[in-house]
Amino acid sequence: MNLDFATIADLTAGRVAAVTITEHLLDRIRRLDPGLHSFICLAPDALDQARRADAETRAGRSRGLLHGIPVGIKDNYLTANMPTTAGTTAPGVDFPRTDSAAAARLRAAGAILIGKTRTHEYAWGTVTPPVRNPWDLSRIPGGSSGGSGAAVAAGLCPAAMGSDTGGSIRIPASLCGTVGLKPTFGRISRTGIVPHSWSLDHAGPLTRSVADAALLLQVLAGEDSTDPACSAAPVPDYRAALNEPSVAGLRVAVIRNHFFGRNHPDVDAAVETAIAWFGGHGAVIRDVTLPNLEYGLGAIFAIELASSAAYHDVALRAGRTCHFTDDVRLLVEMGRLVTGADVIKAEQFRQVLKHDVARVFVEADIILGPTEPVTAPRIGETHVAVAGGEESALAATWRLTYPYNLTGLPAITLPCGFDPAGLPIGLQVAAAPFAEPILLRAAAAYEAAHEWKDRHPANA
Amino acid sequence: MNCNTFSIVARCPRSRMLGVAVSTAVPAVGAICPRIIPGVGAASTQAWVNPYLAIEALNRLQSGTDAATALAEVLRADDARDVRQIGLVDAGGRAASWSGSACTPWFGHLTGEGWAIQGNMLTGPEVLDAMRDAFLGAEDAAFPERLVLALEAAQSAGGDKRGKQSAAVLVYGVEDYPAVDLRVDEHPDPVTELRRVWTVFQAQTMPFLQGMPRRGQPPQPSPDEVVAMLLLPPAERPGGAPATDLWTDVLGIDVPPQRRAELLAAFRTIGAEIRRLRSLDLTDLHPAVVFRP
Repeated sequence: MNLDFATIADLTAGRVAAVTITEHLLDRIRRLDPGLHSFICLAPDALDQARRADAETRAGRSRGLLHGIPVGIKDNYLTANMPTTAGTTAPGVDFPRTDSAAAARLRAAGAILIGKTRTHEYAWGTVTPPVRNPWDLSRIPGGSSGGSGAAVAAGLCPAAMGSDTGGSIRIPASLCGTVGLKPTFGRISRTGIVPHSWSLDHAGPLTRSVADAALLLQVLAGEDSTDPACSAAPVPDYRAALNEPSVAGLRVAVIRNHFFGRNHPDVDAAVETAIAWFGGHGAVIRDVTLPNLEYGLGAIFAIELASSAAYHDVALRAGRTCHFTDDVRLLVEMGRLVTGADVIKAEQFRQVLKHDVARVFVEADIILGPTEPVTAPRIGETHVAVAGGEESALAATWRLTYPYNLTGLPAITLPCGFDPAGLPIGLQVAAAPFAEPILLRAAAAYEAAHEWKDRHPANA
Repeated sequence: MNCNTFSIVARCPRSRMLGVAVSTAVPAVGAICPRIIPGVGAASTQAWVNPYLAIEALNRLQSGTDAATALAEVLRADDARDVRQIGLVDAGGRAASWSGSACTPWFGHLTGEGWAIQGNMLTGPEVLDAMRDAFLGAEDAAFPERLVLALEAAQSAGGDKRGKQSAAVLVYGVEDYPAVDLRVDEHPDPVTELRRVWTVFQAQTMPFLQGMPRRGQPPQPSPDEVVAMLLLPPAERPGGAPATDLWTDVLGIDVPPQRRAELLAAFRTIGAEIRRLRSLDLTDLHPAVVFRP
């Protein structure tokens, strides 16, 4: 078996020893990551974890679904075996050496926490310096989970954790050509993840297949009383949903405003082809519009900026935000300019949008559209070309992802093509709250019928 | 320089003070348009400004010419009179005004006994009518106050079509130094700011000015209470506002002025999005707030 791009399902089915895959990946990281910078640190005990897993296997014991599987973890998740920086080099920041709820669940399921992947500072941004995109080292990997996107795409680990406040799982997954799953708000505990915006933050995995995303969700989903927003809704068998990868009879909505009209033509072409594939395989496609989306950017700006300023309030008052990188410092400090009334109004507006999407789901099972209006921008590029002109790179990269943070809907991105420069394009699938099974089934059906996931970057 | 402006030049029949009040959407109008020679006359030169029109006209008044004749004479010597606007009042209360036919619409002027009101690039004639009504309707008020009232009325009636930027009021009595010389050189709401400065000026500077040396009189020491007041920090004096800093006291962020400008500039596009959100009526919606007691 070629271990470079093996999925978790491949490794499990092939009974690959934990030490074998861990050594293989550590070697790849040593060779390839100096050009990618996707990891900020590697677990000093990675091989010890692997040896323990193999010993347990020999003794006939399996910890769970991820037994002996190396997983990268974003550097804003607290981990007991590795330090956490949340991407900041500001002095006086010291995060505890304990496992976040997600890290603990991964360990309990047998995963090997192999290293910490880089995040844009405090998960605030879509560039994630100094990480590079494995498809083209002159391009950004997206963010804020840019290290996870680059590492999974480059075959440095089969899966990595991300966090998503305005798109931070789906943006790097789309730009790096991986699968990225942001489940329903509250589906996975955020306890032990450095907060960005409490009412928008989601945890989720980046993987190389939809099945692997389902596997990680199975492990990660579930109640946690230490996260006030974590849901007690029962956790279904997500893998069972993948047993019938068909879209026949599936009701598909396409939101024609906001998600279309300002994308790069290459993106539109790939996404329209994907939508047509669903239609050609028995799905019923219906175009809808959500005019209220025009208020979404103001709402998420108000909540995200104000929440971030609240989280960083002590640093702000002590004048320590000057140690943040310029872009993040600006965003955190601007949070003080948002009024309380605007934040509450933004939270009221989320109910409007929630009702709007609920009406869509009366007659639809999933919503299809692009994840990103563009493919990966070049490092340092402040503006990108979209239909009708230029758009700020930051504005463009989260334009199609933040609506599902405001609404808390589960959303997954998976590759649906490549542009002429060979850069991946992402298809975004969203579903009703807690309808991850149907979401995963639709994504898996599309994935199985295409070979996008079998393409790998040259720099890997 | 094109000062599209509204102004009033006037002489107070009671105090014999001469004054000019003016506002425009160009910075530092107070340094450009008004000119007064105490005991002689007052002028405001505007539109495509020729400062020498005011200087020459006042020189003529000084040599005994009346306002209308002086104005006609200086305009005759200016080939670009079509783009000039000037108001003039002499020490006898005779007023004259000129609006060149190539001034930017709406333009025009009004004159009366002791006053001339003029403006261009205005929202309409109602601006000048409002100035006149405010000035004449406050006959009992102090002269500088009447000038400020005229500016406020003009601003409420529409003012300069482009918006607002600076405002000034200049008043001379019999002394060779001004009785009031206030200017707001660059401000989003200059007339309102001028009113604020005028209020503080009356409470804190006028008592001090009253004790200043006068021509032909022996200097007097300032009264003790004036000296005592001026030793206080500005905010603790009469009319002094407690210093409330919007950034530190209201927004809760302590950053230097240059940083404030950077933050405001970066916030501009975000603020526009938030303003769009504000336009919604969401009165009956409970916000999405997770709270589990």
